[in-house]
Amino acid sequence: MKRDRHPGVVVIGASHAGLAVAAELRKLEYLHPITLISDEVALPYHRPHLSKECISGQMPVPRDLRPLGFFAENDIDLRLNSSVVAIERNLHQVRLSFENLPYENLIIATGADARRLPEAIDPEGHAITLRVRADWEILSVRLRRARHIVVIGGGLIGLEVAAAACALGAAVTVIEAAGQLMARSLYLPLAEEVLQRHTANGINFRLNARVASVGSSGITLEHGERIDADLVVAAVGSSPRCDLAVEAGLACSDGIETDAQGRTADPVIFALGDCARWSNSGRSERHESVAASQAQAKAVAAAITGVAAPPNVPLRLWSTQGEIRLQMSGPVKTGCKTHLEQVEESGLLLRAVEDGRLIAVQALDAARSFSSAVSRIGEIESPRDASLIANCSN
Amino acid sequence: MSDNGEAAARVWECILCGWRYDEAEGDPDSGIAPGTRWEDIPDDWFCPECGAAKTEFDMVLVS
Repeated sequence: MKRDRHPGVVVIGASHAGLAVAAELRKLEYLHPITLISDEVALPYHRPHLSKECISGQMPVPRDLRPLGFFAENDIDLRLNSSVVAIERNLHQVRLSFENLPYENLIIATGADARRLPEAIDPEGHAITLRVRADWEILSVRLRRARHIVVIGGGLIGLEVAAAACALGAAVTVIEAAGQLMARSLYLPLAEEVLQRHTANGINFRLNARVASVGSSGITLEHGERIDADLVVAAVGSSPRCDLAVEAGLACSDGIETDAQGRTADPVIFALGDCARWSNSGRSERHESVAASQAQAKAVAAAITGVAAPPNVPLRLWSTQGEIRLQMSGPVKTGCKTHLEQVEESGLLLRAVEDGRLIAVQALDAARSFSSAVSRIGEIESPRDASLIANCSN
Repeated sequence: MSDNGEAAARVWECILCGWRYDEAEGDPDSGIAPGTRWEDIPDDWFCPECGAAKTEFDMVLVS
């Protein structure tokens, strides 16, 4: 393919979101140059594997998002191990260490960093985090040596790490500040089942517990309990990487603010993925999932090429925690009714209903039931189903 | 592709993320040519969206 001297699109960040938007632009026959800038050394890889199959040792390295040949075939100029120093909006260019790259459209897909514990709690930085391949390389070595592990945070990544560590034979304790596990992504009845299964597998839990301090030989909780540990992992959420956008004067508030198609206050600059806060019908939200970044990539590519925006589809999240497989689609809201039923061999399917309409589906070891239920999200629940639904305090 | 009397293209869905493999379209980005039958995809191929293994796919009926 022959390209012109048109400045084309520059994408900062080459993980799920950045790569998906580049691929989607080519799919829509965008003809101008595309430059994809990654600050990592390795080819873009599947991030979710890091805390699942990679950490348990089932997969020696994370899978590549695309084979190397993909980039040349699609005329995508992938720059590995490159950092953007500044976005110069007035000049329509990004500044790298040794060159400037002009753009017609700039796409920011810088992702998020693992949130670290406050310095007051962990002044010497003993707790380690997991976000990128380099983190995983350190964590997997430490995990194989550790006998007593404390995981701070009972969310998706914390539980994935805890389950893998437990399977490797370590004594594992998970500390969670909330009264339930995975409060952001699971309804209470299913979260309780997850707690029960992990407990049966030998993981210890402290719910409603806050860490007061982390030291070289363990942690102390606020109520005074001390737990010995030779490895402490902090899985306490993420902070969007907005520095470049902030310095360029773009509005940011826990994420780069955009409209419903990912456009920032600067009409030629878009943001998507974990670094972005998308606005939709008066609400703005930072989505942190592979599925969301892929849906956003389609919307951004459509906006840039001038085609109609793709329809909204229910987004799917998943988590593999040792032998437990969780799948979620739809929001977790308070005040709606939930129904939990046994399906498949030892699986559970939860449906959340608001104003008579199915708004979310969550499954534990029930992939096929989940797939068919997801297609019914948004539909009115039949009276037969409604009679089975119990009120949920979640 | 020409219709040479072979069975119609089938569609397979990743049970994790919902991505669909349509035999007619293949998965050219991963080196799988259009028209590749499901059986002919190597076992080490994986879902381009979520990285799930080939065994994590189910055939789906599309109307």
